Amino acid sequence: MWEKRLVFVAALVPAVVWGAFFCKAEKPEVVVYTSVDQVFSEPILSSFEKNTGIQVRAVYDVEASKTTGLVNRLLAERENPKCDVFWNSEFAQTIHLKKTGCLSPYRSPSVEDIPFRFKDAEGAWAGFAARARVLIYNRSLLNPDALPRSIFDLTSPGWKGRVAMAYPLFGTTATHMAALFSVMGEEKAREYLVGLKANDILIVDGNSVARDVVVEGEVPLAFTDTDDVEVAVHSGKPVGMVFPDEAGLGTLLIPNTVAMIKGCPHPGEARRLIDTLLSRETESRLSFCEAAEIPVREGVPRPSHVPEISSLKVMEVNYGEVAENVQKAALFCRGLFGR
Amino acid sequence: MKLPRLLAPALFILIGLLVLSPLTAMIAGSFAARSAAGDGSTAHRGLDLDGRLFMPAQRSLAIASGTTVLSVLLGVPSAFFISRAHFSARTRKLFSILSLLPALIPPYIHAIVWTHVNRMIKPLVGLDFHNIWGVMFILSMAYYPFVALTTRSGLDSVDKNLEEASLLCCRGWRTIKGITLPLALPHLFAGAIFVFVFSLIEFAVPDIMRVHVYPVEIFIQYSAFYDERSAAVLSLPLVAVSFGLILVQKRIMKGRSFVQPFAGLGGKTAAHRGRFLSIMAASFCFFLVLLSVLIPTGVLICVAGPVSTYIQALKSSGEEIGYSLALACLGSLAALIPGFGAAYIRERSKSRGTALLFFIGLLPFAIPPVSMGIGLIGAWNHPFLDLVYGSSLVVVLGYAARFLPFSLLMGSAGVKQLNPGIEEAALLVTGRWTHILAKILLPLMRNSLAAAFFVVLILSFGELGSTLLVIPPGRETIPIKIYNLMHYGADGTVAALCLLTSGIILSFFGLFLAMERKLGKGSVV
Repeated sequence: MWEKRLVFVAALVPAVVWGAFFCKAEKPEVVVYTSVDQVFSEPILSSFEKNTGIQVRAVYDVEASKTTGLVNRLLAERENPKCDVFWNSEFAQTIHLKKTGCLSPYRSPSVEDIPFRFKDAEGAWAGFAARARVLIYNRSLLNPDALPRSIFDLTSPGWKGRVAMAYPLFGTTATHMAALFSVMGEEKAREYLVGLKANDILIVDGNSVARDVVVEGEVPLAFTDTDDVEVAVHSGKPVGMVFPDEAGLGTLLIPNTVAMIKGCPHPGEARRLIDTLLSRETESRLSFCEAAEIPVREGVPRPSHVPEISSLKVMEVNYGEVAENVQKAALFCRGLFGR
Repeated sequence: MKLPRLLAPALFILIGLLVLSPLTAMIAGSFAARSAAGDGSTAHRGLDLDGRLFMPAQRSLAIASGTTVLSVLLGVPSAFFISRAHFSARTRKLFSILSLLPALIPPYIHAIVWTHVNRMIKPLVGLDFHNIWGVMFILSMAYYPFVALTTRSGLDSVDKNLEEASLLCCRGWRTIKGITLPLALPHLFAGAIFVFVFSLIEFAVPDIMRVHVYPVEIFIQYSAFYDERSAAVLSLPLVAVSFGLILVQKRIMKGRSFVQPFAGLGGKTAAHRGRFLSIMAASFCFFLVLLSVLIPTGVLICVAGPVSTYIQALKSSGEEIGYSLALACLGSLAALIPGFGAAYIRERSKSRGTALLFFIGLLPFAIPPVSMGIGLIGAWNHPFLDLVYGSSLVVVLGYAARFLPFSLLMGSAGVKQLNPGIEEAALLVTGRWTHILAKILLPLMRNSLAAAFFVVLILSFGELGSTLLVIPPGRETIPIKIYNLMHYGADGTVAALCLLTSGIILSFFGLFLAMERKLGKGSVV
């Protein structure tokens, strides 16, 4: 008797748990993998769901995987794709996916007014709503007149041990290093990075940590992205940001990118979602949220604290070339900054 | 001893599906990546086996060794005092539960808590946790309960008559040294090995504390170079070290008998009386609870702020908490069945086949979570297997595969303490294995089963690396949610969620204890 009850309970419990948690009704749907912070991407995906009746099933990445978890997943799923749309918070990995044959070209009508440099010539991906690589500083520790104007000032003795940066093998910091390789040439970029290392730059785990060490006053200045600074400013932290090299190389812009996955299970729904993501409305929403992303098109409604793209001195880069340099720069940085 | 004919083949198939299929897919995938790269221009760019790897490897080994020693130094006395000191039943239960609490808080949360503490005390005493010693301390705070839990499981299974007989003629210390500790040694080693391997493959805490360790090099191969093959090559030393440890454990146990005729049946423990011992035990347990529970909880409460934060956290993450708990329970059950099955046939039939099965079951020990995730995709992502890969079942299989070694080792320690004579006698009487399983094996192994269930449950609940790669679209586990909030800088919500999830697991644990008490089968803690 006892064992019959045991077998009954052992069979019933998993069945009930399974039924309660894992069974869902069928609906038209689109599967999106996104490395954009959930707090920013979820409201946009929910609006799409509400407006179109298409259920959005999202997989979000986390900073712990250095935003490459989903890229590894997409590469592993290549033979039997489950994802329809990849919405990436940067561009280098999207270009890597294109190179490995994971993307399918789609020219959305929404990309018409997006500047040429922010979209792929073959239509494999398109960029929108950019973040900028900036310097965050602690307002209690640095006066405005003491702020550096260029990232190249940071190799001078005055900044020794006073600057932080995320580990430059991952995320936007890796992309930033690759951009330096691309625009300055390999030799000069290496020289600059050696200078940073010699000046005892503090290497930390991720851009949000770089922001936090400045917020806490451990160092007065750090490299990070605009969204990280905006989140801190929004929560009342005594920090500000500098768009560096306005008289030189300019500030690197890192746009969101969106792409359709080759052989995706719901291509029709995927196109509709891509159209929505690339629209001016989405760019505007991303500039009004806490991430305060910079619209790549002129005239998109934005809050006053988000600069118009034309007001910035933007680093002139070829995104394809930057993506080519990511691994080269990463190899060099690993040797240099391997802690 | 004669085992059911189909048991071993069934376990081979089950463990093969769980472990070998993702492993084979991972290896095949890495070679496919190599062929695709052709000239090697993209693959293996990150792997250069120069002296640069030596320092991170040395640091990882130092961290793993230091953490294991510290966890044993904290966990074993804690388990012993709770199990054997002359405490009232209520005090014993209180310390039992409190000593498990740190394991319910993920290691990265411990790291965040001690970073907050570091910020407060650094200007006062100059103590900085951002170094190898800080990492050892933080990991020990998170992992010593695993040593305590497994050691207690061993202590509870020791035949109390032996200890009581010894206490009649010898001093307490001689009884501990001569009887109690040697009999609980398999469990203690199982716990120590868990901690060593956890610490060896851990990189979230070292990364937060700015210490560059070997697993980061593996992660770099995936994340910076998309090079599965080099990552697999770099994982090999971890696999070798883990297997080496298992062999050491086997060697230490060789020739010793851990079979106790009345294992698990004794209700009361053999208490070591004495006022000094009781005071010392209570002080030690309280100090440990203060360091590992009260300080982290206090910091989390301060960071979480008002009650509204908890309400908001529960509202926004209630579904994720329930989903994670359900997945962890199912994953734990799925790991328990093959783990204990393989451990049982390994102990009862010393054939090469069962030895092979045991070692296959241990393989996931040192496979990095990302590799396991990629292997799971390769193994289960096929059009005809959509029922698995397209649903949460793949996450459950991932948990079962990743944490099978823990179930296997704890099962092995539990089976070692069973007397095969009882099973043989029962087989002569009934001839039915289901009877023997239900009436003898499960009741006698309930402590080991319960301990393994909770260890795997807790580990599954906090799993992130492979879950992220196989989670079905539209679903989210609580660690993914917490990590996302951490990046967003929502410290209050993160702290509230950590406290809430710990509370829920604790309630779940309490419910289990109440059920066990009602069934009149004694207690696990």
